[in-house]
Amino acid sequence: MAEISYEAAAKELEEILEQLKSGEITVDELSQKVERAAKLLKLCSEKLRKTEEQVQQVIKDLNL
Amino acid sequence: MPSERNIRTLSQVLGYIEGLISEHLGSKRFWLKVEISKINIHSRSGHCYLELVETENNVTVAECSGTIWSSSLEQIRRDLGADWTNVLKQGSEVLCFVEMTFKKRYGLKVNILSVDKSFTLGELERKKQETLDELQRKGLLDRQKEHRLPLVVQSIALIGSPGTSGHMDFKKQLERNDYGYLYFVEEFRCSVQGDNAVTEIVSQLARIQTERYDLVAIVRGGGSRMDLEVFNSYDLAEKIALYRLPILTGIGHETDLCVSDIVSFQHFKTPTALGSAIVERTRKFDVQIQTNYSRIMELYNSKMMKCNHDVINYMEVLQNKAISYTRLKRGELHTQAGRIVRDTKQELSNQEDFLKAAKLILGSVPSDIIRLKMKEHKEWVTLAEQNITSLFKEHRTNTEHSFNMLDTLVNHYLRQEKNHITSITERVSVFDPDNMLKMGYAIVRQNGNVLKVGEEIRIGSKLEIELLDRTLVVTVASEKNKRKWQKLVTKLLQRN
Repeated sequence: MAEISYEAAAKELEEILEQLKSGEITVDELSQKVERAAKLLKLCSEKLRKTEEQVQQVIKDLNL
Repeated sequence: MPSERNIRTLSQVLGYIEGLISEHLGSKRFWLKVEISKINIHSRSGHCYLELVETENNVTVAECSGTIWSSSLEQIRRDLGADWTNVLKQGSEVLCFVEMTFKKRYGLKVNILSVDKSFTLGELERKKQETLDELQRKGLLDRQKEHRLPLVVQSIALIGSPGTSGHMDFKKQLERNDYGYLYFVEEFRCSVQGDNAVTEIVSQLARIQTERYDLVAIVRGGGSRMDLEVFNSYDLAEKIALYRLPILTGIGHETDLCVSDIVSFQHFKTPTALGSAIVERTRKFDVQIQTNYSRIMELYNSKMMKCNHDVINYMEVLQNKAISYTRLKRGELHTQAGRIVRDTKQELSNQEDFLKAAKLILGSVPSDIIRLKMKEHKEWVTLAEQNITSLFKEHRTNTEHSFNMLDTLVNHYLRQEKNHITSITERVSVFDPDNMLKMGYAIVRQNGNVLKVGEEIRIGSKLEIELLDRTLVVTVASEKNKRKWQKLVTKLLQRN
């Protein structure tokens, strides 16, 4: 989980959501998928937050 | 015979002729056109003695002696003015007022009383025209014009008579010019009037080493019209025309141009004018150089100024362009930076939205799914229950039904079987051995075993024959074939 990129995580997350929406998921897989999704969500949020911080810093440095 | 001849004396004859002439021509005076082939003035007496001729194609066709008495001569001289020497000279044609005289002593003479000035002049004109025509025919009129003067004339061969005013005027022009130009003038002295002039001029021309000079100047101060005849000479004109250098003439005369003027490279009214022209030519060159130099400097300066202006302009333009370019680029950068920030924020925002949405979905959808699944499950259970219940009911009904049926069927079956069995029993009982034996059948055994169909029996073997009430033990005596009972009944039945 440590090295997965935001892009990959977001993509996977989206896939799971699609599956949820379309009802492809079986009951067996459900909890596993939801757990995976939650993990991915957390990861993305974290990365996004960090990025926002960095961008803010850069903008501030450039006086833009 | 000598005495028969009419012998006269010379004086008689001449006297006679004298009388005749006197009679017919004595007092007659008339105009005579004639050429002077010889002329001689006696210095002591002052009389002039001439030889007069008339020529046709250079052949003398008439000739006569002539006289001009000193008194007439004086008058003529006065009439003709300074030109008289040119009129009354060898070779010139004159129109004169004459009387014929015949003296025994001197013979026939033409006595010239006066001379028509204008005729001779007219003659001169005519001769001049002839000379010009001849030159024209030979294509010499414009020969000299083919020469080119150098831009600056510096070295001059001067033909003229030193000490004469014309000569000195010319030299003064050159030596004392206003601009301080220096000229190299070589004098070739000769007389410019009189009988020898033409010869002298021609020989001087021949003497000149042409490569050393820029031009030849022929100068002569003013003179009479007759003096001018030197320069109407065909010979001189021809020499001038064919000469290797440009020849410039400064022959003072009033009106007409002489032949030499016409054939020369350039002619001037006076020696002074010629000298002055040479100086002016140098001056013109000088001025031209100065002007050119000034123009060059001017052009140079204006060009330099323009170039400087241009350079300044370019620098300005360059500066402006550079500034506006940097400004433009800065603006673009700014815009781009703004765009980057905006896009970044937008992207981050998009991602946030995405994650928020995902969260929502994750928050609701799985539970929805589960709820749904549970609902399905419940439904399924309910359905299953229902199915099972109904199944059971059905089953029970069926079972009961079957049971009943079974009962019925079993009873039926049992009854049937009973009947069957009864029937069989009956049938079988028929075959009860006791019955059979009763009927007369016997059971045959060998060694305790019932005889089978087809079994071989040896003669002499023992057999047991069971009867109803007894058993016989027999020995086989023989065997014989028999007809089968088979199908007897059938056949009987069939028959019936």
